[in-house]
Amino acid sequence: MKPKFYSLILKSMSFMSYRFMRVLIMFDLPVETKAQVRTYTRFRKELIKEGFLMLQYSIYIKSCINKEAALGSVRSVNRFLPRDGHVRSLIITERQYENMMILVGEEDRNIEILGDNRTIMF
Amino acid sequence: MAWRIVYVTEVESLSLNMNSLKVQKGDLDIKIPLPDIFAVVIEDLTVRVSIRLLTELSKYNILVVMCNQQHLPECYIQPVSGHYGQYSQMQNQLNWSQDMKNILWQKIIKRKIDNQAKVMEQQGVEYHRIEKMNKLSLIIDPEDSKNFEGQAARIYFNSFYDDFSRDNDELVENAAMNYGYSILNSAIARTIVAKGLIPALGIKHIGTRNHFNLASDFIEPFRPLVDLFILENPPGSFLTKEYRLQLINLMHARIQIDNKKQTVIRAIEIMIQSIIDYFQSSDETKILLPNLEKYEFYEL
Repeated sequence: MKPKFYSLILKSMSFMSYRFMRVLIMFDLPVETKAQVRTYTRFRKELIKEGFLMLQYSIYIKSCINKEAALGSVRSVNRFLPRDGHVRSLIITERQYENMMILVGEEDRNIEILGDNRTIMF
Repeated sequence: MAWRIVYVTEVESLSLNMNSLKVQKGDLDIKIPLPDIFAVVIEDLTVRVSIRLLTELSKYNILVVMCNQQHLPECYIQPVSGHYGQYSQMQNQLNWSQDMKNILWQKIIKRKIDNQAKVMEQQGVEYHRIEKMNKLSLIIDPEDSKNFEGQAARIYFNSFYDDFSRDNDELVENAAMNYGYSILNSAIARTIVAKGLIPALGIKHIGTRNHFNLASDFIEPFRPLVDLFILENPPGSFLTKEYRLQLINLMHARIQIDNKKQTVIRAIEIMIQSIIDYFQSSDETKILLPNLEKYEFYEL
């Protein structure tokens, strides 16, 4: 595997105008009653259907090809928000995401493979 | 907006999981969201694919190309209905006038020859040959009744290869071109269907056994991009997996259209939409075709 900083340089040179973005959805939902659990499950499922992957508990992430697409996917999350609880979204660039330091644990394989890969080879 | 290509050569199974394509390979379990996917190229003859997945891939207008034992694209899956306004779109297409089709064909061939000339320039071919191409491109009539396209192609290919014939299957260059063209062709056919057009009804191509006449028309100005790649990166003695992958990655190469650099995937869509707009408005300035003024190959 090539070192991370090398791929960073390559990317910034060839895709300056293609700003890959990452959308993060972070939430806390109450799960005390059965109805609340149902709401929570439904929200989580909708997120996954929308193409989000679990980064860690209650934090979901999605790669988008540019800022417009990222804003679009936040808009689509807006369509199935629960009434109670806390939900936030954050859009960051691919580079900012790659600068995230993992202090304990490791990157999820799925998130690692997906990222800004235009072609995924198996 | 779909932008990913999934290239499958060795996995156990492909299935559907919550709007995602689930790929299983050993203990690896990867899920790729369907809305992101533009194409799935399957070169593995033993992979298990669920029908539930196939129908869903079709629903998202995802191009699914399946390859044969020689690794060449053999067939692809096409949705029965890819567009919400399918009926009216098809009606309109049936009413496209012959005059307008002729003008479109003239423009397509002109752009193809111009792009071929660009490739020759880029490869440092002698000036008088390029000059000949430029002359041909200026005198094409609306139907290309004198088949200048063929003449140009002869000058073009003979500038790069000696004793070259596109029919010679022994040549690895031909195999590479065929591979590149057929991926391109299927991507164009997919977008044609996604726009609600009938792929079998061509402008100039009228092959009675060709279900993709229209794609065969629309591919012309894009062909030189494949040629250029092959000239810059000769295939060696046979097509390796890496090389096939590079040819597939031409979908991500960028080409100029409407004065902007766009990926091929996007350029195909822009071109086809502009042609639909042209037939609707009878305004030939609406036609947008890709040119090789500026280009950029996609590096992994």
